[in-house]
Amino acid sequence: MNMNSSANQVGRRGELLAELFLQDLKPAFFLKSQASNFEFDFLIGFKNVNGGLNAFAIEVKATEKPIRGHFLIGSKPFDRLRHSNIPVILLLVDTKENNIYYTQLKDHSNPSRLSESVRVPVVLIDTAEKERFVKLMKG
Amino acid sequence: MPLQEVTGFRGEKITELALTDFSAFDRPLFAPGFLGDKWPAIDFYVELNSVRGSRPYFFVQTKSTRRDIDQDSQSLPISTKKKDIERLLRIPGPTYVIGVHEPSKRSFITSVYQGRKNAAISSIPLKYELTAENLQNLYNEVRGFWRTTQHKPDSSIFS
Repeated sequence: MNMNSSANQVGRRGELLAELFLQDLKPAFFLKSQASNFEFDFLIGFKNVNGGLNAFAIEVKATEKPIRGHFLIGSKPFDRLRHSNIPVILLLVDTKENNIYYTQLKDHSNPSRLSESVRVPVVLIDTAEKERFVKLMKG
Repeated sequence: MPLQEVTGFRGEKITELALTDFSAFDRPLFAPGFLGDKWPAIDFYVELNSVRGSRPYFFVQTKSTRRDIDQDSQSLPISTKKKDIERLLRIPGPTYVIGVHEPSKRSFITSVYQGRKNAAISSIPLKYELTAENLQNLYNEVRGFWRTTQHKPDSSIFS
């Protein structure tokens, strides 16, 4: 595998930007597995208002192209992630502009399907949206 | 995990992101490879992208800090050991120390070059922040150095 390939570099930047962003939210736990068969990029948990833990799986996708409010994800990965028993958050990282977008996959019960892809809307995490994102995590 | 270690780990990630930032370029100028905590004095081996027929490189040691950057300050305070600078001076090729201000995720670079005083480095000027301009300057400097030296040995007993 060419670690210096453009695709690998984009993927690596996406992973790093997502990781630092999530760690800055000060989660109760943050897990990253090196195992090749680990289905998610990260597992993260936050204390909720009832004293329990809200756990989420995070799937990171990286791109160097402009993001125009939506993202195409393969049908099979989408179905696998959406129908997992743990809530999955998709983080879409624009590695050129260093912006992060997100969507919660369970929200898309009837997404727009193209032949082998699903089109999901994503939201830019700016200052205001970050507060909503944190509320989503903490319940 | 002690806060110092967490700061160090995050500093390494911030360094990698700083070196691969391409908001002002078509693609990242550099391809860093993390050498791991066990390698003495060097944290990253970094190659230059887009040099035809060659992969010039340099080495980086990262130092992270959570200390405040005062409003009037002209430099980022960091803590290095004299023996680490000695090691960097002994390595053939360009070597740099990157100081990371972890709370703001800003990175600053200073060179450990031939002729530099063999002493610990305690600060890095803020003007050497890894902005797009300084990333390009770094690229040009490293590329310029490797143009002055031989690319490879021209013979070997193992040929």
